[in-house]
Amino acid sequence: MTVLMRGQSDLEILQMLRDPAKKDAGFLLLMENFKKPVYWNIRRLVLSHEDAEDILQETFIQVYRHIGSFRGECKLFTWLYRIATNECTKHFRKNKLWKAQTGSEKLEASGELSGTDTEESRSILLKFQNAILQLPEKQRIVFNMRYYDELSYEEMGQILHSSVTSLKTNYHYASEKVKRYLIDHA
Amino acid sequence: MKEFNSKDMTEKDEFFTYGKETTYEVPDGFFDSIAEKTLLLAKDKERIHLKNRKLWQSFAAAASLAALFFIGYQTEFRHDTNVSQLIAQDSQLQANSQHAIKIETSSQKEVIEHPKQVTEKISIAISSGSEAISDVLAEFTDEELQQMAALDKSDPIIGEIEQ
Repeated sequence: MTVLMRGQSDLEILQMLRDPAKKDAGFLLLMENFKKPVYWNIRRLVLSHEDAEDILQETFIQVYRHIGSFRGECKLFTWLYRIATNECTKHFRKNKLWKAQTGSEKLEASGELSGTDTEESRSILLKFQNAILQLPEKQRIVFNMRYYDELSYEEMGQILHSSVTSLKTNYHYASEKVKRYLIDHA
Repeated sequence: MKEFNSKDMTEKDEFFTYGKETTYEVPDGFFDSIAEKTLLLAKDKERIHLKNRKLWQSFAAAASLAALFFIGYQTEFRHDTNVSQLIAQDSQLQANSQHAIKIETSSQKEVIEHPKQVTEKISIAISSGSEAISDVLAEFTDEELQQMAALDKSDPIIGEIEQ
């Protein structure tokens, strides 16, 4: 997943967003560039498409309303990921029942599996995703950002307000747990 | 995009066989319409937010005015109370002083009337003879005698008697 592959630079989008006459066009451009990576980041955390859609919209609405408070201290996508992750965390807090479920129950309950995969590849992917879903919240977020979004620890540190050492430790524990799960369910 | 060192690559290769795909489905056309839908929602929320802010501003202004009126009323009421208290205190003082004057006047009256009685007694005694004067003076108390001495020079009646 290439988060930064986009046409317009952060600066161009920001200039448009800060200009009342071009704000809507700038917003559409921002969404065009970031909707997919942000959506998938959210979707891997909350599983349900409906929840992911709500959180994605809330994330971009926050950006639309608070663009004036963005001081450009980090990249635009870092800011977006931070808002999206915060919204996901809020979602977890609201849905305590969801947290109580086990990983496999969550994935089956989501009912969102693609029917195009072959039975074997589907089974492998299911197992891997279940392994990720059984991780604690923080480790799951770190694992997803590192593994799927290929973010550096420094970028993740800006998004999650954590130190590089802490993130590396989280990723290490997460990957160990995933490996163990895969061995146990082989 | 990003530069990864060999350790980073090793980290990601751990799960190479599983790839980066997910099994999640997205409804057809979702990504085509989501931007416009979100923009409409954002504008709606912004409008509601502005409306609420105006409402709050009006409410805050009304509340401030009410608070000012209340403070003003309280201050005026206190002022009135103070004035009426002062008036009451003043009339009390006046009443007290009038009472004091009355007491003083009545005591002065007593003081004035008392020597009159004394001088009448003395006048009767003079007309009756010197023995009678001695008897009258013997009836006087020390206090009455002192008063007599004090009035000696000022009272014309006593002066006349002495002459």
